[in-house]
Amino acid sequence: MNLTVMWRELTTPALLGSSGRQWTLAKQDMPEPLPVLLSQIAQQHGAAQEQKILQAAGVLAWAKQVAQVAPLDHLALPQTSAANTGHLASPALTACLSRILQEDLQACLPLWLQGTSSRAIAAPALCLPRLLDLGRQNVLLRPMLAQVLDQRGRWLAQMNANWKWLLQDVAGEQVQASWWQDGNLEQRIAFLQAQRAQDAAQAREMLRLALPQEKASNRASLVACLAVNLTQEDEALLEALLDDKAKAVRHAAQQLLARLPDSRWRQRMRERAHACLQWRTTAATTLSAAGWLERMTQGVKNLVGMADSPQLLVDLPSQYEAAMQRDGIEEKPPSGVGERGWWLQQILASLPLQEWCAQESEQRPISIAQYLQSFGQHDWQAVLFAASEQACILHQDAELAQQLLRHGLPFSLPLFRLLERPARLQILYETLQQLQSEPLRIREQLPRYQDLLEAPDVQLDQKMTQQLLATLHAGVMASEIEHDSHALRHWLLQIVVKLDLPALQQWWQALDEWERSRYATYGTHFLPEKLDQIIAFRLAMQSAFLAWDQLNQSTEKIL
Amino acid sequence: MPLSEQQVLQLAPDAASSKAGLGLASASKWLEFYQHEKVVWGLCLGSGKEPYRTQVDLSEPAFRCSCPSRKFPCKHGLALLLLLARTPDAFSVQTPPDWVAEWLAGRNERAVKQLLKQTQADTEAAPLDNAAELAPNSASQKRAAQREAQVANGVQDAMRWLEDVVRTGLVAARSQPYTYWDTQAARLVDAKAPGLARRVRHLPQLLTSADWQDQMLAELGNLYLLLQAHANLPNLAPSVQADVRAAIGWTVEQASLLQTPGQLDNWHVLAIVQVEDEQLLTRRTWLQAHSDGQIAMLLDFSAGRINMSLPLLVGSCVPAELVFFPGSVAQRALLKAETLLEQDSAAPQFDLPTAGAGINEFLGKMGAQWTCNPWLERSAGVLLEVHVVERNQRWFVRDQSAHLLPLAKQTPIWLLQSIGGGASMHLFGEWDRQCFWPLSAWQNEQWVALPQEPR
Repeated sequence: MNLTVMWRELTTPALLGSSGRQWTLAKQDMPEPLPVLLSQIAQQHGAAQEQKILQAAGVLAWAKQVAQVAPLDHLALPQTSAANTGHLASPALTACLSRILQEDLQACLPLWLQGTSSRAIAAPALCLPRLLDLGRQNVLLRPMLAQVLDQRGRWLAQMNANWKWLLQDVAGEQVQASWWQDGNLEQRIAFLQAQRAQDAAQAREMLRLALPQEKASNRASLVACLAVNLTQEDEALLEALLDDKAKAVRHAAQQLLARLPDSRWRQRMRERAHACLQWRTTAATTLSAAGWLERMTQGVKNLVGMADSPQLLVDLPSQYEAAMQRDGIEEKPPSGVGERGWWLQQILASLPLQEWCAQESEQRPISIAQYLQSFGQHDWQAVLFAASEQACILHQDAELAQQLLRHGLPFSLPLFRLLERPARLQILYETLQQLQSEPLRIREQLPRYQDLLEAPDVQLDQKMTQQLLATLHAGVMASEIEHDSHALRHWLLQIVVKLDLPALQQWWQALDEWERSRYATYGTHFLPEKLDQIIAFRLAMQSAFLAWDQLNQSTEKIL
Repeated sequence: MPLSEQQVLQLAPDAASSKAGLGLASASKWLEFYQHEKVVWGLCLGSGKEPYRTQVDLSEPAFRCSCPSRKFPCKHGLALLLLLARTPDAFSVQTPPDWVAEWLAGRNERAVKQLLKQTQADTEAAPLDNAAELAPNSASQKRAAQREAQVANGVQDAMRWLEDVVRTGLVAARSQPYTYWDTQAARLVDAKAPGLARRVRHLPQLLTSADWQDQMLAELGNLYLLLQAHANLPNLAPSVQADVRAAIGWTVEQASLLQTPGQLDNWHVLAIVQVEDEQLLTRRTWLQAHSDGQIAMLLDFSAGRINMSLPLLVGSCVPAELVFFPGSVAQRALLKAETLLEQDSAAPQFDLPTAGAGINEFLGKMGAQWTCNPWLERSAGVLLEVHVVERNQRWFVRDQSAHLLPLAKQTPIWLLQSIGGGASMHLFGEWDRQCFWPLSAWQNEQWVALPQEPR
């Protein structure tokens, strides 16, 4: 008799209660031991229903357990992973990675990834799920992770939606034509950008036709795709979009028009700027009317390079016009900012610095340095510097960024980001030197540079490490109470893996006991202990890589 | 026996202590550290004025530290053991200072007292099974008889309660509050039947599963069978009596068990499971004899991790004598500690079975054990060449003949997939009558422990 049928007969009275439903065993023909035993249970004299049910349940559950047979699978097995192309990590390197993932040493992960990817070592299988999770959380780590996750990692990523980032970043999905009609927003943007790269005019036409049917947030993102291969031919569409209902769309169009030197929008902005700003030189203003002596003196000054500096005259816009609104100039300033200064700032922020003033052909062009020099002494310096910073970012002007950082806005992080890494580090070095002489500002300023160093592949050389530690140390020593230097000490822990190891060790060992005690803090971060731990771990990891290199070199020699 | 970091970390009371211990496990953190025979000690600089005095008796291990931490073992104790595991040669041998010697002497004194007490208790307990031979006025006999009566009453009470549950129906029982089940469990604790109490306390958990009707009825039936068996105890075979008494919660006197001869063999350590339930930590260590493939399970308990022995190392092979607990199925065993010391450096390699370790063979072996003992909670075995597959949003292992076995929900699926890469692999794990819990995977010619999710 089928066990399942017997079980079902028992379940109903058990569920509903034996007081309401009786358990009766169907008549058995087969002399099997189990039905016989069950019928003996069912026919017990004097036993209550619930006793019989429980006894039968015990017997049947036991029988089911003993006679258990696994079901058959009729589906095909999933595809297996391709073999890894990277080398197998040594036990020492595997142990290092395990410690990084288990011991709150995740800051050291980029070092492990750099070391293994440069040696074409694949991450060990036991750590792959954790690494894939980390890639999901930290976008900056992804390029480095992708190099060590290898085939096994990609195979895993195909099966888990949380790890799709690996497939997108590495393989780069092939752009498909159907995405324009059926894809999600990211896919449609990818398609439009690809089209712009191939045939800008056709892509623009596709966009023009599609825009009326799109919702505002999509329209802004799609319009921004025109940045690829942007030309004067795009102006008509962009100019028309200045009348769009959505502010985000108008803003996207303004940003693009600002990048077209001959656009009408930029022309209008130039006219507004020129109406407000002009350079005044001695020659231009007074000399024409002066006597021969003054003219001669000025001539000599010019000849020997002692000419008076030109002066920037600022005349704020007198009134807000409707056309200004269409061009994206906001009427209401943020709190604490004057209305007219705010209008001027927005006008100037849309133009490259060289276009702020009308240049007369006979005059020498005003250099960036001259602009910045004049800003420094100006009544409107806050407006002028703010506008120049925004203009610099809009037009991605790395040269202006460098000059601004050196001469006007030394602590502007957006400007730092415009620089290539060598220039960025050089200016950071100079800034650190400058800061070292102003210890009271260090506590406030230094931690702001954290995200400049946060790119996983940034490693500071010995010179930079020494300067950074010297500045930081000056800040910690200048803090009168321990709490004041908390941010600095915390920051040191954040960037400690970026520092040159010998320079770090040398610095740490050179501190006397009292100086070290300034880094100690009560609470969760016991910094000297943590520093020691990280230094010791980095040394252990260095040895593991060294052992790997030595083994590989000897293997190569044998081969 | 050499220590490993993995073994030491399993003693940590929590993840934070592991991390802190690892952070302190370098020589630079210690003013000094020494060893002498089975004890290590050291001075560690902390935030206090005086360095902390940390000492570990390796024979258990037992810890003592002068730090104010309320965790046990503290990070200093863990760190000292980790340091020993990492750099055993860095520990120079010295005569223990007074503060270590005094502690050891105190421990020895307590151990002797405990032994005396134990011997006395053994003498009292031994005649339990031969109650008729006892003098009628013996106090210990009275105590034993009292307990037997208490358990018998508890069993009768539990039978009536189970009958009530079925009389009113499982649907009605499902809507009962937790206290309904917990109160009955507490009554069984009072009746000195902790094994029964634990199973009753587990019942509400079954109500949350998708097939709760089947699971609940099967569990109630199995419990009722156990209660009936207890009522009929004198008529059962001695091995079945042992099964019943173990399932009810009677403990077996370990000291006398250790006096009986066991199986001397090379024991491969296949897997370790640690389960924490409130304050009680349970550790199951699964071993397999090299000579005949006999599977054995060592069971350790610790309240608050105090006196928890060092775990064995998964993948290692331990020459030791194991004594099995009485019962129909030879599964739970005791390790004769002294044989551990005679470790042979040339331990044999684990021989993977070449055949007969498919899913149905596995279920057949498990079924054979349940045939003998229906109250066995779990068993364990090797599954050869299985794939991990997903079917209807559930994960299974599938063998070469395409049979499926469900995996426990807490299985680290992605880790298994990462190790296997879609290819077949060999797994060792527990079978709890419902699903398979993979505990270790065969990698590079040895068993490697898989990280366990909390159960």
